[in-house]
Amino acid sequence: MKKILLLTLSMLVGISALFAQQRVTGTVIFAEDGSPLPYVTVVVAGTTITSQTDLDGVYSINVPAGREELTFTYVGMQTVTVQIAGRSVVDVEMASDAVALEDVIVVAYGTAKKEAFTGSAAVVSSEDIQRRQVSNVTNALAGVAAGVQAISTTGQPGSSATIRIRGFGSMSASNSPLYVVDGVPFDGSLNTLNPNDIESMTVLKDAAASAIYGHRGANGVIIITTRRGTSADAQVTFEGRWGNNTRAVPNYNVMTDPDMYYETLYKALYNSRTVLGQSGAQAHTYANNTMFDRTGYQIYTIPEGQYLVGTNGKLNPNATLGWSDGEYYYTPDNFYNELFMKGNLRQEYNFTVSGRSDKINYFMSAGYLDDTGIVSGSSFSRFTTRIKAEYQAKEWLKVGANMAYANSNNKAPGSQTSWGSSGNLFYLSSMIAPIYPMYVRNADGTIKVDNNGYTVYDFGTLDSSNQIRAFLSMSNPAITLLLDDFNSYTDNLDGKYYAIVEPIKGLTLTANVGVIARNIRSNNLYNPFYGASVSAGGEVTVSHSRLLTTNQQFLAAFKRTFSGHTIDLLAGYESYNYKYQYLYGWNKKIYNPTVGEINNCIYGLNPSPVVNSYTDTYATQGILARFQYDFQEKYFFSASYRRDASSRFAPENRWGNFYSVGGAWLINKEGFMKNLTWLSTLKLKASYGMQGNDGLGNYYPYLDQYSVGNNNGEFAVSMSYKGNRDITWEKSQNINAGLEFGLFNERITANFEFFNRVSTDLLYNLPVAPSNGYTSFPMNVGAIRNRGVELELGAAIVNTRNIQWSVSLNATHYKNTILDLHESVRETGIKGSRFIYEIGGSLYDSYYREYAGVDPETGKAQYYKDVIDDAGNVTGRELTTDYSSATQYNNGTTLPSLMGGFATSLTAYGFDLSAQFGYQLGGKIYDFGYEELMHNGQSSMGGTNWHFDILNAWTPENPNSNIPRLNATDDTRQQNSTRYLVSSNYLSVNNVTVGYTLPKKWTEKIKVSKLRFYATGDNLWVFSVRQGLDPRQDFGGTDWAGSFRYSALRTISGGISITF
Amino acid sequence: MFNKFKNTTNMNRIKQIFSLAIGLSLLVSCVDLDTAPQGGTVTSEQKQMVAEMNPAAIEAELAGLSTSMFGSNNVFTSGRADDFGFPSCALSWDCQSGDMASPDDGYNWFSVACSYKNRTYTYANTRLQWDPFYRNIYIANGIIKTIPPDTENETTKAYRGLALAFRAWDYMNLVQNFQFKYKGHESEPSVPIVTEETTAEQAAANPRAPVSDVYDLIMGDLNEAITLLENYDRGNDKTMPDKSVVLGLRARANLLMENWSAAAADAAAARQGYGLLSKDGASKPGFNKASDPNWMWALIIGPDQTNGALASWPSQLSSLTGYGYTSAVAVWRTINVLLYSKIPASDVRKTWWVDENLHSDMPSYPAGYGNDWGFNPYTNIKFANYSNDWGVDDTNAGDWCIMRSEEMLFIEAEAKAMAGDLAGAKALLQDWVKAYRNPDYQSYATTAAEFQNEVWFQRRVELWGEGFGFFDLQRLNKHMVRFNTRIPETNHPDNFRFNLANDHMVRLLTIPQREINANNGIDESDNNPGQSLIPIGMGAGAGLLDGVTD
Repeated sequence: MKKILLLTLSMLVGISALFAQQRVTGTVIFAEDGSPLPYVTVVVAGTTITSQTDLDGVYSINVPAGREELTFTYVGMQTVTVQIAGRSVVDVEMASDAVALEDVIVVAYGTAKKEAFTGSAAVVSSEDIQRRQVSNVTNALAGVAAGVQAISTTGQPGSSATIRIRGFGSMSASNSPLYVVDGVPFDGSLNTLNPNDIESMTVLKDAAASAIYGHRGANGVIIITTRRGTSADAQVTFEGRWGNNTRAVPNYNVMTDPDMYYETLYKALYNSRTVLGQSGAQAHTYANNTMFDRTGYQIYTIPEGQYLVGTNGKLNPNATLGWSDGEYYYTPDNFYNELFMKGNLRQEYNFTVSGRSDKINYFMSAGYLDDTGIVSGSSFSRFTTRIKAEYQAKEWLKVGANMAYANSNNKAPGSQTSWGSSGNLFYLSSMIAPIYPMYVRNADGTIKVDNNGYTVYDFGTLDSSNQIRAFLSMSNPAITLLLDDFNSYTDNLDGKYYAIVEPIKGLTLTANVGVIARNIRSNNLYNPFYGASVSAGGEVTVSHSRLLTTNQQFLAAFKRTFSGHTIDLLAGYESYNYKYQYLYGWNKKIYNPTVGEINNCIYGLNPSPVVNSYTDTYATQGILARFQYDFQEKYFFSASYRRDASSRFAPENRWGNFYSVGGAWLINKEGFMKNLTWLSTLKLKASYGMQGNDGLGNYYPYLDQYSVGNNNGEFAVSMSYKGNRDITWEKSQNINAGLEFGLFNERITANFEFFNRVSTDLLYNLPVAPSNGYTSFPMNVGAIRNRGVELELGAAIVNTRNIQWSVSLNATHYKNTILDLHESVRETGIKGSRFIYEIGGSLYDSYYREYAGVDPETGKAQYYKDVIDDAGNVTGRELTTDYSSATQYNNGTTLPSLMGGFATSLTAYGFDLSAQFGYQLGGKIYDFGYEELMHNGQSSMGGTNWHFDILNAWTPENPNSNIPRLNATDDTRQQNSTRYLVSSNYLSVNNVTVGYTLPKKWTEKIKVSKLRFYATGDNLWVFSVRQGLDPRQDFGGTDWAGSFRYSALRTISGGISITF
Repeated sequence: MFNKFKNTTNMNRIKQIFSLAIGLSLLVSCVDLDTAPQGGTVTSEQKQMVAEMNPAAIEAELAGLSTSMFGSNNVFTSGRADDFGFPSCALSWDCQSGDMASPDDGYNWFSVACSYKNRTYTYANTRLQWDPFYRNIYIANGIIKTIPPDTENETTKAYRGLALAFRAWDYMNLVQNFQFKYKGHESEPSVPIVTEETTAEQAAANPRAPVSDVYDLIMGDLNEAITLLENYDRGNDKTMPDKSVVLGLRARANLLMENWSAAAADAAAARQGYGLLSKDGASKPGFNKASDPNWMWALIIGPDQTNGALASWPSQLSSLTGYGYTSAVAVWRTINVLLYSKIPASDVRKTWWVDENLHSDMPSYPAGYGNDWGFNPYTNIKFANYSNDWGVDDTNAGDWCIMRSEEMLFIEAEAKAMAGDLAGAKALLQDWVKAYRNPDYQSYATTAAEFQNEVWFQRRVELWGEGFGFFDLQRLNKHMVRFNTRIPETNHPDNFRFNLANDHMVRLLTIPQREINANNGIDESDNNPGQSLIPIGMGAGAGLLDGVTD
């Protein structure tokens, strides 16, 4: 009946429109101080009719009959849409964006009013994401949300940050959060998402928020929501930015002067003989005779019969740098400067069209990114498109689709994070002594060029010149990265299709089908001219992987409000299928040295290239239900339940039950709070629930698995994985309690939360005695707790019409504690060579011998050693200079005790400035790069550079140094110990952006509603305990750190953004 | 009327929804939660299914006994270049002797064997000499358990016999690593025993068994295997130990236990029917083809299994591979000059190593080869690459010899002499050396002990690089000598230039920390003390002599 009435009304209006237009006027004022707002754009919704307020904030506009809405937009203000409702004067107040209350947030299977939400969620806005010049959206999460830790082990563009939410709950199973894009679990490549398409990211942290994701929610959930149309008037935007990448983290403070290097080496060798009691003259001769053996390279011209270093320990003044053996000329190059002192281009373009009408909402985008990293052969380029549309087909039926296609090529040379790898350019350039040439030079000193026109690089072997480099011979990644060619071509199709039926008011039935089809073809070419593949005549590997995931959801939701009570019910079914297919081929002896294909090779002597392939499948299904209730929008209650089955477990152990309950109380709505007008929000909330985790690396962990091999042409099988039929879900119990408040009409907001997350029945690859014949098998054992607090603060310090200044801060403190382990290790703990897991400790406790400084008498390094009585009891500890007899101790957790970020943003008269910072305090990191650079000159370290600190080593004249004596045969001075376990505190400047938006009165003349120019810098600085050490590459200090990994990128760009 | 109309539409919609729901439930039923891998990995059920379809597939499990002893990433997944199973153990054992020198260099994965730092029980190195053998024992136990000792079927008899032979060999390798020689140490702790009867509970608290228990097991297994393999014909498949090989293993065991007569008899029986490497054959690089007539037992490692892997024995030992740790980054394996200088120029084996000028008299040795490739003095050219060329083939493939007839001949000669027949022993050795290696050879021994040293010299030269260096030191209770006053500056680099007395406890390998953590039968204090005795200082053990290189 209503339908008919509406129809009649619109017919009447339609007829009158033939005859009349209505003139509407009014004044727009700034809500905070009541001052008039000039240059506000006023649009008649659904039309192109536009007007603007004058200097007194007054506007006037003709509204065609039948049009009912006016939209007011102004930079820095929240957009206002009002119903005309027959009025001829429509006055409007506009409020600043800075204090915008994000009223509605995206949560599991829908949205929720922020004040009604009983769980814990952090929202990262599109501004925070799009400001960052990240090629992978996960990298924008660093420092922006409480409870979220992000590290990047490599700066290779396109690579994902590793994200942990509220600590670490698993030992052997996955600690990664679940990514959900527009409601569908996302297992595609995260770097195929264009950050410009993203409206918001919501991080769900507690059980009330994420338990309904059941088995996949145990490590938190990151919901990524893509943009949609927001205004009736279509918005067309273009954004372009061009910038320059450089190395964000410089090298350690190492020697760059060959004279200094050789003098130091001389000292190390000289000392190695005098400590044995040899005379100074003997030691002098030995050191000079041994020096070039240690480095392998003669780079000085020394007069006949003289030594390079004199008896005073200084370089012979008659020696000159540069030496020729008649065939080649040898002189050192500065590897770091040659490789990293130039920048690389980064460019990005995005184009979007979006809008909405009463039946359709659409968003379309196209984007292109080309990020060339900082070294040769490394880049990431991506083309993305997205079409998202929702159509109200019938009053009771809504259909929609969201299709994103991305095509990318990730050129990521291998080994750029591997310690000690001859292919790792970062390792080589950080550690190589300043005495080696990078290029081969002809006898006349010119750099040699080969027959192909390539500059000839020095590989430190007899193949390139006549000397053998002691440090990492047979390598020069500077040229191999240029000639090798690594490509990873990715097509990622991410589609979601849905229909929402509303058969009766309040009841909606939704069917969602999400499909991700990802194909990655990797062609890696290893060049036949220089480097590791010369003898093979070049090599090619080609691999292809195909991933297909399908997710189906069938949901029924019912919502009804009656006399102050609101109930909101959700029930549904969800299934998930995952299929991964892999094909790999390898061949060698390349015909065309630039083509990375198998058939471009002939393998040479032997008959066939290598090929292999396999398929893995995985599936889950579950039912879910949720109940939400509120009374007078004051008291809120929610409960959820999910029952899930995973193919990772045996049929009898497949199903798990997960649930949550939560409540919230909006205290400020109580009568007794009425008088506290300065208090705009006061909310107390609490939740409890349980989630599951099945994320073991193996897809069939309940089954024994064997590998099939070849023995002399016949099949051979041998066990490769010992399964355990009894394993089942790892469980995570979560308690969350929080207090939110807002002061002075939300000018100041704060959110304080406490969490206690206990994982039990850990999925754990239990180490068994290798004498069993296998070394581990999976079982459910052990417990881990993550307990902590989070604080988020925001303040709009200045909020006037022309100037807005706001700051925000987040901080997280938590403690990771192992509560239980398998009985076989309950007493002793699980010890690795660098870490220890024991009850009461954390998953990041380091386990090193303790350095006790230098013996001032001898200059030897000292360590602590337990004193053990005859009964085997430890009665104390003593100093020892014998490293191997020193005791390994639990050095405590290396996780930071406080971490987070802070940001500020200032807008004034069209200018905008923002800055975002990250920090971490109280943790430790193992600076292995520094350890290597503090070596003692022993032969296995030949040709390794020294850190400047070595100059301060102990000498009889410098007895109080903390750096042991320099002696090339002291085995105990450069060893893993707490000497290199240093603070991981850092402050990083993640982003600074400066922009200027042209006044509207100028841009309107060219039909542009907004035109902004800006400059932005990412990853500008990191301040850590030592130059060269980037603590953002590791969570804690149980692994080796140092500047041997692909450095983070510093990107500085200029950009333009236009909205039509 | 309006009400009725409204209800009808709702009914239609509900019908639509139901049909939608039925359609959807069809989709839903597609979800199959019983998933399994497809590819190079199979589950027990899949294996069972294959066995039912093709009964011969059970042989694949036996073959696994051999293939599990080589291959890159044998123990760890991290791509260590010293992780290639038994050949890696063998190379460590030679590096632990005095006879093989190699550079003290970051690229030398075996520097920890040279320095004995591989006694650090937290290091991966202890695992590399532990896990492969116990994994092999696990496979063998699985086969032994399924075939009862009284089986009548010839095929299953052979299968059980083969598994027993592998198991005995595994324990023989383990026991020599963890305790000194058998005689005098019978009741000393060695390694935990795991058999087909060991339960998971027993394995979780499994103490180090006395040396004699391990030898009892070895002997029991070998004796039974010899019976079971009586009628077994392995054809050309030298990866499987037939009766002759098991006799050879028993010869080794008897030698270790100093049952001299039995050792001599077993060795003589074992080498029946095998040829010997001719002088011509010994005058070129080789030792990489199982088809050679003197090879008795081998791991067969083809190019499709190595794919040029740097974690392979040719990469680490053969100086002729086109691309390996030897040829690419100069981690050459060289003979100690103390031993080299004792090899007469008339001995064809002198050509297996280049001299201090990088020259070898081997006829096929290309002039200047050692200079071109940057050899170190005394670099070996004993081990060929897969194609038997000079520095071209880089497949890093090559068969690995576990037992050959020359070793049996050495056992026979030594044991004969020790059992009292010195003259017979001398004749045996002398005839062989003269005919096959050095026409000018003469044995001067007047006592069995002197002769034992002469055999030991032959073993050190003949079997250099094949993994006998360290266990011979242990068995013969000799000092490990890398330098002496005869040639004080040997070619061992500074940090490896030390001697070890015969009873030095660092010579016993330490049980991996991983085992101690998970095995309640072995406590920290039960471990060998090796770890606390390293590093061994440069020049330590000066004055020790071994009776051969003095």
